[in-house]
Amino acid sequence: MRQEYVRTKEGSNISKVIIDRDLCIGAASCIAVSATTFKLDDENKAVVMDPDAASDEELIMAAESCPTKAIILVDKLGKQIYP
Amino acid sequence: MKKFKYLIIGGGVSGTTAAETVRQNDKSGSIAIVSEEPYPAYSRVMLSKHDFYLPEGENKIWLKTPDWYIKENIGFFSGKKAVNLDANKKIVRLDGGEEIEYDKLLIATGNCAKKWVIPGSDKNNVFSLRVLDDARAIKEKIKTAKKAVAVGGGFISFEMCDLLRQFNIETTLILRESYYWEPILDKNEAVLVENALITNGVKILKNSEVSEIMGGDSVAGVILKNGIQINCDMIIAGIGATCSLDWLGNSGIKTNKGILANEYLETNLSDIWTTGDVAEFNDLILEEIVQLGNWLNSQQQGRVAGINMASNKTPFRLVSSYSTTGFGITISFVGDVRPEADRTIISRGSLESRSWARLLVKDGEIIGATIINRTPELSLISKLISADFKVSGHENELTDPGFDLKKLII
Repeated sequence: MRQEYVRTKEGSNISKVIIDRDLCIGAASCIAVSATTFKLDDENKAVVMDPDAASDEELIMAAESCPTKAIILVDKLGKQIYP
Repeated sequence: MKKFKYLIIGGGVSGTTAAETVRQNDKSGSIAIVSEEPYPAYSRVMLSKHDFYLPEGENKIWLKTPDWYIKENIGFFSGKKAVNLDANKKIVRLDGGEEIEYDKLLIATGNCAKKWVIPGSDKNNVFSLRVLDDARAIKEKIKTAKKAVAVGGGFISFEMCDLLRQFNIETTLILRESYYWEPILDKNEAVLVENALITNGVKILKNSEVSEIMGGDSVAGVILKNGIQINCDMIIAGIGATCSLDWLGNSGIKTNKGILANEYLETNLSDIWTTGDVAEFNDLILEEIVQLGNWLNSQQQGRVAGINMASNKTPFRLVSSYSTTGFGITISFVGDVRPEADRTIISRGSLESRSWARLLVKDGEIIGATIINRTPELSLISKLISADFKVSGHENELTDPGFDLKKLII
């Protein structure tokens, strides 16, 4: 299951953060990189608390840190930019 | 002799991330990776996860395809091992005798499973889990195995017990210690983990050690030091990891358990960096020289070393963590969890609620935590560590499991 979070941060090139819950293993890498954006829920899956909290750079770093590539980033034109 | 501007020894997540970062910062500089395993980069974390052991599971582990190295113009010496470093001449020799010259070198060789040396430990179906070939062999065996013995406590052992039980394999866990993961967890936390294991059918034998492995070519059982015999047709030994540093013997590089590095991940030798499991580095947040064997540390250090090698000098600064789920419980480690004498402990939680967190405090600041079934607090505790939060005056709040840690974060 894919959970989508719309991002409306001013000046950001990223419009959507998607978490693939089937891929997420709860390793919590994203939280260590961007604790203002992500947290683990009661099922130990990553969820987005605040899609506008972090810079684009921090979001990309968090997505890149995921060992299962469960974080998907989409730009303003609807194009997937990671992974 | 081949020459590369950037030579990276180690093709795991740290070395691969470093190569990728170097390429982002230097479009034309020549880069090569030397990797002991004959595979493109994959997610080592996945080797102990249930998904890998499903029929198509291997498709999920790849971080890079063989094409990626070609597309990024990164030389890839796979299935090759570095056997000598001459730091004066800036030459690394590989096991086939080939020599490679470098301008800048990164050593990200990771660590390997400790070799288990007892009578019979060379028999078939005695496994450790570190690399893809180990995981493939385990995956093949669990299709037919009926009884397994797991040895040692820790993340991998916990995950492998969960896996074995999901495949309906009768599982006995042998622990040398008096409780699970002693002394990293305390007894109360261990009770939560042990109860989860026992409830799901794992038999735990504590204060026990295997003295001999029985069988012909293949394992048929184990004999413990106290004489007890347990029949089994496979063994998974999780007895710890060690870094192989022999090849650096004459190089002049400073080592302890790992390769020593400063906060920029530079070694004592010029133009040589080290990252990941093998690096013993100056951690700016913990204010200590530490060696951390976790995925995130490796990945993020690779990124910072890549920047340092190709561009600006950047210090490494991160509170790393690792988290796993099995048998319905979640265990997370954050920061430095070593129970050294100079740390005090703040516990929050209760056995009744099946949740527990232990905050490790040094010089008045939280430096690490072990967290069981309180995962929503993981990010908050990470923030407290990275903000150098002073615990003084907040002890009552921190020990109250109902207190919302968010209130402590400004």
